[in-house]
Amino acid sequence: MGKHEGKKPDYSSGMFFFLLGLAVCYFSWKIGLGSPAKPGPGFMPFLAGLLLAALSFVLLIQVLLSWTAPTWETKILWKNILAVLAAMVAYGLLLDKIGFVLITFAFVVILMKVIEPQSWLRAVLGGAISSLASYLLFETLLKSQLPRSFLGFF
Amino acid sequence: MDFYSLIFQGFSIVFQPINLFLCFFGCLMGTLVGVLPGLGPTAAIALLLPTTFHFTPVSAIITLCGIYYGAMYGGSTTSILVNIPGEAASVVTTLDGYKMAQDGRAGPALGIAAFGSYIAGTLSIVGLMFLAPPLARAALAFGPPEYFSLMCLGLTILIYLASGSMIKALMMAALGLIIGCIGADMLTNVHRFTLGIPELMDGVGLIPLVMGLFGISEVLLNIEVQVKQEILKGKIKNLLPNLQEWKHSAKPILRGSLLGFFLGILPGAGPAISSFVSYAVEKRVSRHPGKFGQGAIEGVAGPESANNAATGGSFIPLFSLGIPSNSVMAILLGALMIHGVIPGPSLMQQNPDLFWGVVASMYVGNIMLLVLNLPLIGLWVKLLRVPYAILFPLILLFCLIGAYTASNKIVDVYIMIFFGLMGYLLRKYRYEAAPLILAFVLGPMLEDALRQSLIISEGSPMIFFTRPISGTILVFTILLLLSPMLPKIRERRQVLPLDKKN
Repeated sequence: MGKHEGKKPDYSSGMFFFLLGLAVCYFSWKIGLGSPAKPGPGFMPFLAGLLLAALSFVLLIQVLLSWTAPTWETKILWKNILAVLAAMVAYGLLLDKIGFVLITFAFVVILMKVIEPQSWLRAVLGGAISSLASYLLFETLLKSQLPRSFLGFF
Repeated sequence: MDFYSLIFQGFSIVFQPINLFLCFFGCLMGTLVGVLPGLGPTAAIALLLPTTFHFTPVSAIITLCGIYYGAMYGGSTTSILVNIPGEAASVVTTLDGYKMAQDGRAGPALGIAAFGSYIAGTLSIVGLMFLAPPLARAALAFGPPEYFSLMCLGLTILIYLASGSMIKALMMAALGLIIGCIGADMLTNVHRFTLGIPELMDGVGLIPLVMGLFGISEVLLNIEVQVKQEILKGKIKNLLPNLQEWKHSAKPILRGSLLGFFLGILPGAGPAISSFVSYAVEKRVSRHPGKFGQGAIEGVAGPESANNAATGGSFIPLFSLGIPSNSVMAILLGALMIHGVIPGPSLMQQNPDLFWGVVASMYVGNIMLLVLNLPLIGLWVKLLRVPYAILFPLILLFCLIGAYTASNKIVDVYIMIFFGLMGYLLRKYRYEAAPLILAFVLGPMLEDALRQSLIISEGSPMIFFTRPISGTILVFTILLLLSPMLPKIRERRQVLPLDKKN
């Protein structure tokens, strides 16, 4: 690939946004554009989609004409990214089920152990302090309604 | 009511104990996020927005504003002491500030940053106080076409000032407009792009969007590589700059104040760009440009003043026109609407308490910040010793809680995670999130103005050009958009050394 390797990021993102823009145009057209004197609900998204597609097209042309495009310079620890995303999704799934304090405790402990491993003492202490402190702050002080556990408290 | 009684009224609001406390709380939180790298003012304000729901509108805005200008004070601390900018507006401070710290002059650097910030912050509030009301009176005559043109201009300036590719910045604005369209249409109630998810009927929430794009994505960027952290050693002494240092700093502070204030008014310019421009100006006017980068106090005084002055300037479009000029102002606009205050040129007449109370709170807040930053500097330095491995789960946790408590809907947590991943990928592919946020907030207003204008003109787009104010603004917008095609201007845009952080 040689020279072409450097183009990849802009090329793939440009292509993605180009297709996205076209898709938005299509669905906006289906929602209904209305007439110029009485613009419908699809009018604005259609224009925005068209703009996105047109700009992406220009970007793609630029990429094809130039040989210097940015590349990713560092090696990425995908393991970390995936772990954090998975932990957050799990937090969302379980928040209602097992209550705020328990899930928060688990969330903090797991992240502290997985990404940049801390000692168990530190992790458990961190989890305990942050879950209790945030409970006091948000539930008791600010009166947000956080989900409780099946035990009826916390 | 005359000018003085309005100011007096403003101060009487601030000196109510609850507001005084909240102003302090906001400044404290601002300093905190300023000091801590990895959580910027934008994410912090989005995070605390839900907690202000049961305050009065004035108290809520006082708190949120405090976070914003407080962050500008705090940001300099890390730049000077550990060479890590706390937020984008303090990137240039690392150049000379860190050098000064290495030479054992951390004290004067921190001191001049705080004093400069105080002077510039106060001057810019004076400017805000005198400039915003007349601008609002002029804007009362604006109709939908004028607003449409003005918003187009705002977005264009933002894109023009964006670092990196202008095409990409424009693409982000278009994407923001599209995301802003999600939900039920205001006029016809037709569902748009809701993907069959009932919670999306009300549209994507500003809070999960901002926290995803600015909070989560920042954490992801930090943990994608091995976390390294410099440990700070040594004690800081002599916080008060000596006479010589004051003499060197006086003019940079004044120049920085003026520059920052006027740049702050422009959409997208804001604190970050003002600090860069101020540094460039100081280097150019200096008789010893060689000293810059070697620990010149002018290189700290100018930019640190400019970024604080810019915060004052950036409130002007929000309070007088109802148009936000950067992503923080976009969230404040959202906050105003949540509290039932209608942003726009009539805001100052209908809610004088709000405007004057907030302005007065900024005077008080700047004094509080001076106290928070100088005598208490040791406390903030201790905070810097907290390793990122302990910090990031907490940042994520606060984002999760913030997204959830804003609406009490789990869906918003998933929306935030989605935009967090998206924000991360956008950064990796060198796209900026700021135009997206601004277009997202302006989108519904822009659409409304566009459709109303077309209904008035019975379908002719010429209405935007035949009305004098609207036409002038729009022609200027188009010229600005086309200007990068001229090779000379394109070169100049590329030398603007902007960091990708925002």
